[in-house]
Amino acid sequence: MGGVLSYFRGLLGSREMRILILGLDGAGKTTILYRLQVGEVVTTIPTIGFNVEQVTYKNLKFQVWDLGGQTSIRPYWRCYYSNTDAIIYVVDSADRDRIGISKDELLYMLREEELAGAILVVLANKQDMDGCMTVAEVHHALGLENLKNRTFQIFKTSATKGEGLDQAMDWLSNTLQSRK
Amino acid sequence: MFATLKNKIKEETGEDVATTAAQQQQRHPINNNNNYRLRSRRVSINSNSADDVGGGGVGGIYNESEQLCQLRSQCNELNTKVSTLTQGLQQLQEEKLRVDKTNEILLESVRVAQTQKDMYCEEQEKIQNLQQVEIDKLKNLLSFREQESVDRMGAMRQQSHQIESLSEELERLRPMESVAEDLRDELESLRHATQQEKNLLTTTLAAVQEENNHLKKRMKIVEESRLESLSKLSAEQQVQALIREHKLLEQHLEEAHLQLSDIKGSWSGQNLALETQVSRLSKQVAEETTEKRKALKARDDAIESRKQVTFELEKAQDEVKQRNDKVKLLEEEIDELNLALKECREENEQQILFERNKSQNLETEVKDLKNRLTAADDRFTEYATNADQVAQKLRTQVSEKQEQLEETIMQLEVEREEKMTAILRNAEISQSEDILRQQLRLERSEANDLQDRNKELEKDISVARQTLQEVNSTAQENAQKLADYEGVQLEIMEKNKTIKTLNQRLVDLKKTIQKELRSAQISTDSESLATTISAHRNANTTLETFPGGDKGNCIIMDEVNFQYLKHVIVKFLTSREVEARHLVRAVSTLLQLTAEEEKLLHDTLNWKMSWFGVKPT
Repeated sequence: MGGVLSYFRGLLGSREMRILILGLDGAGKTTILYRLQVGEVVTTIPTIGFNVEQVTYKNLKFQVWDLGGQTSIRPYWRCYYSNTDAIIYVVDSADRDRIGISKDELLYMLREEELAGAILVVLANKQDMDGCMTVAEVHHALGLENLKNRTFQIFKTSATKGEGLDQAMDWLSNTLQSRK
Repeated sequence: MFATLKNKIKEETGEDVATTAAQQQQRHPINNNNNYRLRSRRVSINSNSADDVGGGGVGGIYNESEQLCQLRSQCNELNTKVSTLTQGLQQLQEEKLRVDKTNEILLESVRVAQTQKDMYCEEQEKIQNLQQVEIDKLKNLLSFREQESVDRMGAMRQQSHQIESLSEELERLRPMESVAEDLRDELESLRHATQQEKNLLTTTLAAVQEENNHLKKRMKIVEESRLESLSKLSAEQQVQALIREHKLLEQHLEEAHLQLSDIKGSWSGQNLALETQVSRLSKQVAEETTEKRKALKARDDAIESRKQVTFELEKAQDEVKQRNDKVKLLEEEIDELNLALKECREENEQQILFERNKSQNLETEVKDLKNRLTAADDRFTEYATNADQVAQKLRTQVSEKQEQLEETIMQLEVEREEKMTAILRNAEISQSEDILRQQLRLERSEANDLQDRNKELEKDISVARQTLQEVNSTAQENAQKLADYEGVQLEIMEKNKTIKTLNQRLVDLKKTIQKELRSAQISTDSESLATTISAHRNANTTLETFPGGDKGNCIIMDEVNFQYLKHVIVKFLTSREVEARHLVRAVSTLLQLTAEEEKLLHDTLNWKMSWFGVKPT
């Protein structure tokens, strides 16, 4: 059944964009995924494993993978890297202690050859929290100024309030369509 | 509503009463019987006890036990009786309560009926008052009309009297009329006579005047003849003849004058008499005519007055008729009203009678119920007293019996204890005998077995000794191994510490290397760094590491990893092929699949997704 559907979808030529949502545990990846899919804030538990959902944004279909960000399962991220169109890297702007780890993980990830062509969207999430880092601070802390040969953009977001996600998805869809 | 309620109550209470009465009637003889039975039993018990006293010994125990059983049964019976009596008491109380309730309901209904009755009476009084007022009004009207009619009748009578007096006068005046007519006739005849006389006189006067004329002519002729004679005679003769003639003539004239005056005198007298007569008659006639006119006037007046009176009479009669009609109508109305009043009264009386009957019925019912209640109460009290008496009797009996029972129980217990001890002893003896016998048998068999076992054990012991020796040697080896292991553990601890320090160093190194990398940006270096990082991570997470497969990766199988594996496998199995294809790598990594196995998964998924091809093996 699914085979038939996907076959027809292939015939029709509208390929689903494959997007990974990555980031440290508790950054808000699952919240962002379901905010994108159903437009509502859902209560989430720490993802041990992953969530995959189909998200349609401006007639573009995305197959969005939200991979669990806990330390012990972070090594499995690389199992999902193949054929990835874009990476949404979510950073907890209020977590100043682990921004370094986040940076390390980002750099480690970007070094993967399979992700060489993937577009990077960095979301400085939890902008609604008091004392959180600004976009510039997150940009600097992740060392994005040193990033080269990469189509990327950073956005400030608040998944619980739904702020900034539309801009990020607009940019992402536009970039993906222009690259096609 | 009340009737139905009453009926219901009647039915319910009647049935209840009947049933309860029947029950009571049934109960009485039973009680009597029981009493009788009790007495008889008591006697028998007494006799038994007497026998027991006389008999004693082993038979005594039997008797006592029997007695005891009997006493118990009696006691139970008494208890059941008491319970039945208490039940009867409760039933009676319930009945009493029910009767009270029904009584209250009936009293309420009576009250309601009385209030209704009062209301009816009030309504009736109101209606009667209204009727009375209307009747008074009508009576007043009637009396007023009657008085009016009486007045009219009086007026009518007066008028009729007037009419009668007038008619009488008329009757009186009628003969006067005839006199007047006679007088008139007389007057006419007199007139006729006077006319005739007058005519006669006129004729005579005319004859006289003719004679006179004749004489005048003869005189003329004479004169002429004289003149002729005078002319023929001498003047003297003539004068003489003339004087003679003159004298003659004067004489004749005087005679004629005299005659005329005589006639005139007679005629005037006659005329005067006639005139007086005429005047008298005319006077008489005038009087009569005036009288007649008066009479006629009076008659006309009387007729007119009569007409008026008759008209008035008719009017009055009409009025009277109208009044009578009105009176009749009013009387009819009064009759109708009276009838209505009577009907109302009858109805009300009927209703009152009905209500009275009802109330009487209710009262009688109430009385009946009260009587019943009192009867029930009496019965109840009787029953209660009976029950109390019986209960007291029974209690006394029970207490007696209990005393007896206690005594007998005491005796029984003593006896029992004795018996039990005897039985126990007996049983013990028999048991001990049996046990001894069995023991004997067992011991014999055991002895045999033991002999066999002894032999076997001896063999075993020899074997065990050998094994013991072996075990000892292994124990020694194990102790040595344990010592070695402890040493290894210590070493591991030390190594952990060194690893931690090394990790810190590695972190430092990583940072420095990253800095270097940023500057250098050589892919080969990064790869090596990646491997170092992965190695570092694996070393960092836990000590219990399993050696990785062909890929050289180390998989950590703790709780989180297991959950992750479970999740990924479940997703792999349940998700669409498109998604599952992306999970092949994760699955193969988690399950440490070989490259062939991974390829097989891939191919299988591809085969599932396409419509053609052969299933890969």
